[in-house]
Amino acid sequence: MLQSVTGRRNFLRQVALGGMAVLGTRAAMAQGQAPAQEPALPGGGANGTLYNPGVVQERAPTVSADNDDFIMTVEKTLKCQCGCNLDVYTCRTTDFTCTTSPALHRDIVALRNRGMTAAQIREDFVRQYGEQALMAPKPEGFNLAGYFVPGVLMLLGIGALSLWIARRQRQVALAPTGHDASDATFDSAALSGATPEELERLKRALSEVKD
Amino acid sequence: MTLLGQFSLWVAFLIGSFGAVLSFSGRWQDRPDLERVVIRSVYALAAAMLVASISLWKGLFAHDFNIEYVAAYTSRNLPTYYIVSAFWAGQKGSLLFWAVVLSCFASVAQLLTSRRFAGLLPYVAGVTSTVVVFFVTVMLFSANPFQRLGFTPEDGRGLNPQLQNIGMVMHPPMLYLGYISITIPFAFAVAALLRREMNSSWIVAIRKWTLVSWVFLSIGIVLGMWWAYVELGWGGYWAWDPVENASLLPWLTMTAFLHSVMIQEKRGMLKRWNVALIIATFLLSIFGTFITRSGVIASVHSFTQSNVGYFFLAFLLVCGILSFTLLYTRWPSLEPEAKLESMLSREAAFLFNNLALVGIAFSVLWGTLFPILSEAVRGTKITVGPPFFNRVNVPLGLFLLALTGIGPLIAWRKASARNLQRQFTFPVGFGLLVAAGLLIDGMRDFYVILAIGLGAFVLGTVLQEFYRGVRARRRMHGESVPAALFNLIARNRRRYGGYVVHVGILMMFVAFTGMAFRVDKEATLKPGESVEMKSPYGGTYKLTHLGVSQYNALNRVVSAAAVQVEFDGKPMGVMKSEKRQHVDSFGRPTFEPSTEVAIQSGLREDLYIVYAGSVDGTEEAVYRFTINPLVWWVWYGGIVLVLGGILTMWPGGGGIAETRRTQAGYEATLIGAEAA
Repeated sequence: MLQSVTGRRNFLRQVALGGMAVLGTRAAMAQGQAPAQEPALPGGGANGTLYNPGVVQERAPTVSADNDDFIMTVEKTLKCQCGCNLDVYTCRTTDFTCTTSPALHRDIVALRNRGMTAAQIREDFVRQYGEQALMAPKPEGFNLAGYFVPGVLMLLGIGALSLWIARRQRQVALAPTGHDASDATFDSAALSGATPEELERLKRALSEVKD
Repeated sequence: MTLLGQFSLWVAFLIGSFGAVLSFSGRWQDRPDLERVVIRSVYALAAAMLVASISLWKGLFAHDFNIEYVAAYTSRNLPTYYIVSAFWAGQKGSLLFWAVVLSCFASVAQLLTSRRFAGLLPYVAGVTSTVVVFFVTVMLFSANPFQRLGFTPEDGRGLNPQLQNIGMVMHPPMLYLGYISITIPFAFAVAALLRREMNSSWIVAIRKWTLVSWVFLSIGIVLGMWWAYVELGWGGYWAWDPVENASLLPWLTMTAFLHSVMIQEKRGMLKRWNVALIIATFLLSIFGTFITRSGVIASVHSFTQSNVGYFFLAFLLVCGILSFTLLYTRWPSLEPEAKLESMLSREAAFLFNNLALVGIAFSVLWGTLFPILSEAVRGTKITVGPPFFNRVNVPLGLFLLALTGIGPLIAWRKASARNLQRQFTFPVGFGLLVAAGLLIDGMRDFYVILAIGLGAFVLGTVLQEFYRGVRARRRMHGESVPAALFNLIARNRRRYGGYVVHVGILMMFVAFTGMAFRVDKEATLKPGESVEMKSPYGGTYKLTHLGVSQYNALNRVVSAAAVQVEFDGKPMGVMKSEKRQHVDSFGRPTFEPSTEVAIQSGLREDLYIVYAGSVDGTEEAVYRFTINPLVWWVWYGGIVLVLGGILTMWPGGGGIAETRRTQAGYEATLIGAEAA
């Protein structure tokens, strides 16, 4: 009997202790969750980590040099060496799997920090990677042909075409004609059946829509 | 099915070869039965090619991964519409696509061409069959789409993520349709030369085909630009890549032809030039295919390097030599029927326009091939990228834009001083006014002022033409403005459709200037953090990173980074840029993670957001934000351009009667049209 009373007391004490423990734990949990009551982050994962980080490219945080106008301008004139055919800036901000363009970007930033000008940085790249490091060939030597042949040919074409038209114009002027070219349409076969009213309408229309 | 496909290719090869040999032998000329055989061989060729194509599609949809092509470009979990586009996604499939579309076009050309040109049709059949046989030969001996593997993979590799975009479902077939349909005008030109039918009437037979090619190529090029913009993630739409250039080249020469053919139709002039342009356009389309498939020039767009390039180079050389030799032998019979009378005439303006278009085509070709030339001459590899092309081509492009406005204003044959004054006063004044407005507004970029000023000038010419046309119709017929406008366009679709095309072109030119004011910014943001960016027009964007969510989709794991956008304090919505890791049906990664751009497009500018990646596997995201002014105008300019092209080629009102009327002198068409 005594044992049963002791057992009952023991049982009640344990229930009471258990209840306090549960309450204490919940209170502790509530305290532990307090920092997590900031705006809920979409996407799951604890502490702002991604649920599946393996499917997203790993990136270093942006630094001020990444947005430097000088760096961007220089990078747009230099070709990435990964084989993508893009300039360094476009490659590093587009193909985020490329490891070459971020490395080239770091090189350019380092050269800039050593006080080099844009031209000196380009020269340094040409020394390292050859002339193909430039997005456009330097306008010198044979490369001048690249820049000027289309323009020169176009000018020659304009000149030749103008001369040809002028020659034709002279030939037409020398050829005997029975009428003025600008009036040619009024006595053409197409209008031979036109009534005076129609011709008048035509003249009025032509004064509006001289083509 | 591969057996049937393979068998169909051989049947096509034999039928096409037979038809081509019979056609060029000329034996059909006194044998109507043989003539019928030549024509019917074209239909039989198309049927064989269709069977081959259905066989490949069957393999693609049945996931028959024992076929090397199916395993390389599809997977079990690839969405259905991308299985359709996988047909032309790879080298081998796209060769089959070329051949089947060309054989169908050849059949349509035989069916729809007027009986007036019946004498040309067997030669047309010969040319088209020869080109189809060439493609079938390449497939049979070098790039067979029905090639089987020694084993059967449990799943295919899937389609490249960058090709899993609606733009890539539409862009390649449109571009191919443009390239392929050029063969039909080329075939007619060769047939006319072979038949010595040198009058201007056959030009009517090919003008519409050339317009069809031009419209398809225009759609293909604009869709390609759109795809590059929304999918590749670099923030631009034209990179002067060799493959992009290759698509522009035939477009330029075709545009030149569509202008100069008017002079042949109206005055019987420029016959030699027009034939040369058609030949050049066809050769450039083959050249573009060679560039894309040979690997001779590095390009992000090209197919994998293969020996297919040698086939194309040989074909290009043979076609070039034979075509120009044929033109040379027919040179004397291509005498012009009239002479150019004045420098101040529309004919002269069109000649300069042709010079500019061909000059730009040469310039683009020159720049594309200059690295090869430099390496051959100096032994030094060089890069010819956007800075080179912009420097060389921008002045030429502006010259062309000016001619776009000048051409329609000058009278045919000879313009008087009064005509010039009357026609140019408003457009020139409008252009100068807009340029002055830009200067007053603080714009100091010379090319931008010139481009927008010339754009305003061209718009002025078009508005003036429409205004005068409508006013004339209202006076003569007492029509309301909408009715007058409708009838004006309906009665002269070519002319007013052409003006609509000009509006599309100027919209695109103006849009191109926007790239000069592009603003980029990279930023690393934790959820809740913001960054600000100034618009080139004034005003500030506030961009707040909301977080990254991840979920599984059909064939990919998606990581979507959300950005809340405000402009000068006004909420503009939430934009989501994604990283996509594509997987096969077993969940295994198939390609590197790709990027999906978020774009908010407006009349003035686009906000372009790229989620570059995350820091230490957290939701701290690295972004590239770009503000792209005027990009919207590129797409809508493209739409206007294509609508103008469709309006121009819309059936009705054309044909030989119109050609005869126009040859009598342009002014006569007015009264002729009114009387009709």
